[in-house]
Amino acid sequence: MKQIALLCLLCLALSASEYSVVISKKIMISAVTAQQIRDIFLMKRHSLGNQKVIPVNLLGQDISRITFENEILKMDRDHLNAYWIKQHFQGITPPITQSSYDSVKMFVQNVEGAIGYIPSSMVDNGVKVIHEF
Amino acid sequence: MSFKLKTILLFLAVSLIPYALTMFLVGNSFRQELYDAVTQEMHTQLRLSVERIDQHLQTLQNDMTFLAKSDIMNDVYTQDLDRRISNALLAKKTDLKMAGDFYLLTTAGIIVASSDFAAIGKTIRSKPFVEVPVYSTFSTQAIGKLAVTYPLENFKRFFSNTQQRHYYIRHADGSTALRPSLFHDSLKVSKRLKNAPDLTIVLEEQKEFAYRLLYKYELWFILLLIGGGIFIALAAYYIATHLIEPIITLSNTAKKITRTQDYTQQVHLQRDDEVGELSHAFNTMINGMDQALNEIIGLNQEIEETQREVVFTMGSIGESRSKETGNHVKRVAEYSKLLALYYGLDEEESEMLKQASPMHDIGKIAIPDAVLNKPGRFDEEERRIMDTHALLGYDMLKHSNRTLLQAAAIVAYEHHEKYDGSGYPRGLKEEEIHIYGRITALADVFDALGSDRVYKKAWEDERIFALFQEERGKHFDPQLIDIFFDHLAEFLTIRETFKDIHES
Repeated sequence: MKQIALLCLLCLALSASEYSVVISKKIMISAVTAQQIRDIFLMKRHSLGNQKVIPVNLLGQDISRITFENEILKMDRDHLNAYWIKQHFQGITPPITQSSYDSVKMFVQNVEGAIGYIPSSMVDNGVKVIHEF
Repeated sequence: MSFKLKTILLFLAVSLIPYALTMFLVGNSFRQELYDAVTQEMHTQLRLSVERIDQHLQTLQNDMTFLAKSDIMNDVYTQDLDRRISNALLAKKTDLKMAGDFYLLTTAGIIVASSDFAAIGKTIRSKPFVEVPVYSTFSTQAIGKLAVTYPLENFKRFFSNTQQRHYYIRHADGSTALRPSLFHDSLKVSKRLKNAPDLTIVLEEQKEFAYRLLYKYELWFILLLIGGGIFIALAAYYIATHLIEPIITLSNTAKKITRTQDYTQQVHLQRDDEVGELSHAFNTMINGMDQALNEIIGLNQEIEETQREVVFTMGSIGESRSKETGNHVKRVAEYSKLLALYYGLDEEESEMLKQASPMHDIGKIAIPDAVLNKPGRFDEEERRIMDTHALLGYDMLKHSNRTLLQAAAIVAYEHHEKYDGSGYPRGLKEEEIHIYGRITALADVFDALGSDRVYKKAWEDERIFALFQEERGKHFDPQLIDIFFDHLAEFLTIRETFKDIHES
């Protein structure tokens, strides 16, 4: 049972850790909740504690972005569009974008406070994982 | 310099100098006007071109500023990994159809992105034309700068150059670029670019082309100018000669009068002005001079006449006292003149001698009648008294300053001198005796011998001639004796003309 539970957990972990939310290594934050990430990417909060954060989205209709929106933001594309149109009138624009995982990773590495999501397989020493989904 | 020449030159100067001055000013203002018109037009064209260029540069700058603020500039952090910036810059370059490239530089000066992909990772080499700072969407610090190289060839498409007119660019340091050709002489207008203050656009036009109208008619202008000058000069010359014509006439008449000594000439100028008055005054003056001259001549003649008569009368007095007939004096006078002329004296002097010789015996009026009119021969004392008449006559006449009386004094003094020195009163000889004395001696003796006297009968001619031949060189000057015999007929004619008329 424990083994099954472990396996399930592993499976869950494997399936759940397909993508990682990463941040610059320099930042002292170690774990962030999905709720916090959601707020950051919807431009509802701009910092974690004292640390200013900059969300970086992936450009276009990439599968990872769709997954991220469904898993973390919990909004589909129509909802999201409606949300940003509404926000636009309040002067709030969506997060900046990068067109590839590599550039997201590089951006996160180079910019203090930048938060992006990349496939877990791409995680290396340059970035720190603060959440997985 | 003559009056005529001076007047003509003055007129020429007075008329030509203002003409030349006026023409110069008119020509100059025409040229200036043309220059203004040409440059005005050039200024307009230049202004339009410069405005277009400025607009273009403004567009370039605006586009760059816009780009520098766009989202993709965040890719600076990823070293433009996805070439998003580079592609955008390339698109802009294509859009603007320009030569030159955009460069995105980091604050360290490394090229992160460029429309020229080959330059990425290097440093920019040439000086950028425009630079704008680049900001990310989440930072107030500039994360780099966007630069563009903009070769001057880009300006070419704004330049509508022709053979005669073209644009070029002048830098602040005076060097030029894009200048197609050098004109020998040109008009230039220039204007600084507002959006690139280092650059000045110059519009240059060939002078020959700008002034083509002027050059086209230049020859005609000059010909017209010269024609006008000649016309004015001719008019001035004509007026000047016409003006001074009466003066010249006056002057010519005056010259003619001076030359011919004919004071009856008049100037014929019928004018109502001062010149007319002048000519009238001139005529009156000349007329007066003529009359005065005639009067003087008349007076002179009268004086001479009086002198002659006085002398003659004085001579006659001497003669009459000695009871010699009056014609003796006349004959002696005529003989003397004849001898004088043949001797070589001139007409005037001979005439004077003729008038002076009658006075040779004037001294006799001081001789007592008893002696003077004594019939028969004189004794010693009487002869001595008688002989003083020469000195007496000389004393009477010597004080006068008149040449005639001076001559008469000489004649009276020396008419009894003899050539060989045996005469009286001084016993002079040969050339010591004045020629007047020598002549009168001969004339007197010839007439005395040929005439009856109270104390003798007239001699025969042969006897007289014989005596003369004998006395040649003794009593008489041999030269005069020769003259006498050479022209004997003339002397005899005189004797016949003035023959004494005997009352018996």
